[in-house]
This record gives sequence, structure tokens and C-alpha cells, in this order.
Amino acid sequence: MLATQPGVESTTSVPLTGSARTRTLIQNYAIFLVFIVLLLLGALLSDRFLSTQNLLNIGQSVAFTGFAALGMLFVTSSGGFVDLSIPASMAASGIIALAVMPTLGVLGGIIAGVVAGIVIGLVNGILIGVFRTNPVLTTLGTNVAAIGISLIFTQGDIVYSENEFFSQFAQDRTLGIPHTLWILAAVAVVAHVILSNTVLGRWIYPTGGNYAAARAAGVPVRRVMVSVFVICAAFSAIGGILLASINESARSGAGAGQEFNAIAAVAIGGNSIFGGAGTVPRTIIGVLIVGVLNNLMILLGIPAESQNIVKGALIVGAVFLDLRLRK
Amino acid sequence: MSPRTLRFIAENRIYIFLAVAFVFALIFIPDIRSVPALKNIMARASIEGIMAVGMTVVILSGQLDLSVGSVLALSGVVALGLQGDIGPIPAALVGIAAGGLVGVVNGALVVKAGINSFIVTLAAMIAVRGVATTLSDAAPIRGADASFGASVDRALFGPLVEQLGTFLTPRILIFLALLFVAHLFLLRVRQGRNVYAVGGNVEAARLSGIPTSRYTFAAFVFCGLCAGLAGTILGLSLNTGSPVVGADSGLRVIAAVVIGGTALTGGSGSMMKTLMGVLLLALVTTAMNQAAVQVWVQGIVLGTILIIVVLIDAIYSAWRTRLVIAGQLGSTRAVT
Repeated sequence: MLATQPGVESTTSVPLTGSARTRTLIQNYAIFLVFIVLLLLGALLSDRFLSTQNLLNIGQSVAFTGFAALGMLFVTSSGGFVDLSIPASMAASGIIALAVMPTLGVLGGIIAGVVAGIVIGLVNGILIGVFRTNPVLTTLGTNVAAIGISLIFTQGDIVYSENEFFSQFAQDRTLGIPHTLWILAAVAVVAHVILSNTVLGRWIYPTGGNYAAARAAGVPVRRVMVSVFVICAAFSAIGGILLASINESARSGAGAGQEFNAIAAVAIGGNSIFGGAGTVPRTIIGVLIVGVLNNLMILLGIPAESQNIVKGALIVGAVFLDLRLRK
Repeated sequence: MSPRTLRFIAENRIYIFLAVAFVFALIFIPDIRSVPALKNIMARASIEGIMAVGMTVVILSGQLDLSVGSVLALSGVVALGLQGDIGPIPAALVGIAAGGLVGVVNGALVVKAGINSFIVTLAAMIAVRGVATTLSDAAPIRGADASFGASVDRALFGPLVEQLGTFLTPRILIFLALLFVAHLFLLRVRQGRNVYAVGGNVEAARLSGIPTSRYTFAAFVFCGLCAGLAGTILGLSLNTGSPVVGADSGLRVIAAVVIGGTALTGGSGSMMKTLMGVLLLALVTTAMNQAAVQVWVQGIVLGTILIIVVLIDAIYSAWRTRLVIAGQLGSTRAVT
């Protein structure tokens, strides 16, 4: 298990022939096929579906889940299981950024917001990595506590952005693409590089695959755990600050539900929730599938209330399919 | 202190927490002793408590159910929405059964399809919320029979003994009776003991002839029924079935069970601990509401309590493992 490479090419090293190879290909790329089928379906249903504007709308609508999911990928891959404090990282970063922006300026505000997220990640990481507390309950606790602490600064009110540049930044476009999506792409590239080309990345998978064996083999498992929770919180914080920019305000409920959206996207993409495997492309595909499906349902006129039913079915279906194909 | 004393304290920490919280409440919020405040605590504890009874069984058998908050909404919507068509009592029964149905689906997906319960019930949490919102057209549903609804909070025997009588409402009695029966079942009935075996070590339980899948399945159905019962009672007491109620109560109930001292890893804990965990959360929440503590400060207090408890558990667990390995402490797990 220690040598397991992340994700797609990991199934076997023995050369395969004929049908066996086809099977492996299907196993590895099934989720990408699903995505292409959804795109074709959309193109058939509506000629506006593949328009640049609609595709950008889809991207914008799932961008914040994207930040959360990329962070969550680090936590799940390393066996940290889940981070339920993503809403706190998103809300606290936006609130702190806007609260200090009048005095510290835009850059100062952004840095303060990201630092707020990193502090939440550090608390999670130290509790879970060093003291080995249960991740579900720990991050549940830090979630409610951290939102409360960030609201002390603002006495519970919504904080509004008073900075013209900041209020416009997330929705302004460069080369026709909103800045939110550029930054999401940049974060995705950083995440991919960390996971596939750094020492930390090489430690994350064995830690998630077999904690005891990784520790015995000399992987600094505690440091890995602290790192993944800090990365998750930092990515969420970047998303939270952009969300504050789009809304021109920040409030405590800004990131509500994003922790579950993130888990759903990671699972739908076919990444393991229990550690040892998981890639950035799969996570992005998971996020996009949710976005495309929501968009399709709107085009089909399915009421917004019922879309959650499909989303729930999709999560179970994707994980079930993944289990079956890997057998 | 000897290892045994420390173990005793660690495993009964919830009673210490509860005592401390009560003393704090008495000092800072004198009103907390008043009958309305105590009744408020019990009424709050009843809804979360009924859900927690089901959750305890699921957690004891080594699983997790995130969907109970959505079931709370679904059952309320169903139980009140059907009142006009089939009468209040059948509607209430259908509301409870709706929760059981969600439990059946959860259990089947975990046992038959082999999908992890965290994922299954996360999906159910999202989907069931969608069903509740669709059924109610995204708006609260008013019940047709308000007096039937109010009966869940009516003192059954009038003010028999002036103070005590007000506590004998169906809502509170149902909660206590359910908890007590579940407690006896887990401790005294063979099938109840088997729940601990399944949660403690599923492979060992299977090899000793326990049909483990059936137990896991039953745990989810029971948990769904409990959440359905809680949602029906909550809906009746407000005479409103709201599709948005209980958004965070799933996680709150899990927190209550674990704060009580039932281990999330399965196989260790008890109904009485859950009762104490539920009472602690209800006491702290009611006390802070009574004192008009702002919502975000309440979040800090509750989050900190949870983190402290989880931290104590982690440190204690590491310490116990070390002592057991060193032979200074028996390895028996406390299940009562």
C-alpha cells in the first residue's frame, strides 16, 4: 500500500491485454465519461447549454464548493476523514478580512482573512494530529466556536465591504473569465503540484492508506495531519474571501452547507473518503458534475426544491458505482 | 490518584460536567430553578433526546446517521400535512413511519450495497431535505387540528402535585419511557447485548454467530423511527410542519451522545450516558437563552465544551492503552 500512487494509473503495474485493459480503462475513467455524457445531454436539451455564458455560470455557481472540495481532498486523502469546520473558515475569513480592511487596506485584509483560516486549521490539526481526537467531533466543535469568535469582532452584524476595488474584484473579468475562476484554477494547480510533486504529497497517501505502517516507515504522520487541516482551512479561507467580495459583505452563515457539498464532490469524483487515494482532476470533475447537473435540472424546469433529491441519489450512485468498478 | 480512580473519573466525566453546569446555572441564572425554566429544559431535551436514543443505538453498533435532522423535518411535514385527509392520529403514525422508511433505505444501502454509513446518511440528509421541501412546497404547513397538536404538551393528570404535574406531559413521558425501555433492552436482553458486540468488533461478532448485517440494518430503522417520532411530536407541539427545521440537529444529537460518553468508535456507552449528554446540552442552551446570551457566544461555549470533551477522551484513551499494555489496568471495557 505504501507505494500506491494517487488515483488513476494506480490499478496495476502488470501489462494488460485486450478486454482486461479495456476494463481498467473504464474503471479509471468512468467518472470522466459520465461528465462527457452529461455535457452531451445538456447540448441536446438546450442550444444555450454550451454557450460560454452558461458554462461560466456553471463555473461560478460551484466555484466556492470547488475551494472547499480541494481542501477537503487533502483531509480525506490523508485519512483525516472530514473537516466539518469549512463553513467557519469561509465565514471567519470573510468577516475578519472585511473588518480589518478599512485600517489595513485590501492586501492586509486578505492576509488577515487567510491567517484566520490558517489558525482554525492549526487548531484542528493539532487536536486531531497530535492529540488524536476524533475528526468529526473536533471540527464540529471548532466550527461553532470559530464562527462565534469571529463574530466577537463584529458584534454579530453583517460586515459590509467599503472598498470599491475589493467589491468588484471577484466578479471582474480578465480574458472574459471571472477572477474567482482564475483563482480557483490557480488553487487547483497548487493543490495538484503539492499532491503529486512534493514530499508532503508523497507522505499524505501512505498516511491515509495505513497510518500505523506509514508511521513505522518514518513518515512524520503528525506533521502531515497538521498540514492537511491547515491547507484545507487556507483553501476554504481563500474561497470565503472571494465570496465576501462577490456579496460585498460577510456574514456568519456564508459557508453553511459547504462542508457537505465538498464531501459530496470529493465522493462523486470517485476519490476515497477513507484515505490513501484521491486526485485533483477527479475532485474538479466531482464539483463540475454537481454544477452541470444543477444547471441541467434548471433547464429541464425541475423545481429547485427537488434538486436535492437528485443530488442525494447522485452521491450514493457515484460511490456505489465506484465500489463496483473497483472490485 | 490510582489508575482505577482516574479511570472511574474519566468514564463518568459527564456527571461531573452536568453537576458543574447546574451549579453555574444556579449561581448566575437564579430563574433556572423556576418550574417554567425546568420544563423548558425537559421539553427541549425530549425532542433531541428521542433522536439521541436512536442515534445511541446506531453509534453503539459502530455506525453514524447524519440524516436525522432532515427526517425531523420530513416527519413533521407529513404528520401535519396529512391531518386534514386522514385524521390526526393516522397522520402522526404515517409521520413516524416516514422516518422508519428513511431508516430502511439507509440500512439497506449500508448493509446490502456496502457503502459507508457516513456517505449514505449524508446523501440521505440532502435527499430527505429535498423530499420534505418538495412535499411542503417549501413553506411551513399548518395542522388541521390544533387542539390535538397542543395535547403533546398538556399535563396528563392535571397539576396532581402542584409542581410535578406540569412535567407529566406526553412529550416528556414518551421520551423518558422510550429511553428507559431502550436502556433495559441494551442491558438485559441478549439482542441488546449483541449490539455492543457488533459495534465493538464486527468480525468477532460475526464469527461468534451474530447476524451482524441484520443488527446494523435494524439500528438504522430504529434510529429513523426515533427521528420520525421526534419530528412528529415537534410538529404537533408547534402545530406546524416546517421543511427547514432541524438543519443542524443531526450534528447536535451526535454531539450530545458523544458528550454523554458513548464512543464514536462503537461498542462502548449507554442510554443513561446519552440522557446525561442530552440534559447537559439542553441545560446549557436553556440557561444561556434565559440569560439572553448572544447566539455567537453560545456557539463559543458549546463548541468549547465539545472540544474539551473530545480532548479528554483522546488523552484518556491513549493513557489507558499505555497502562493496559503495561499491565497496570485490566482491559475490560465499561459498557454501562
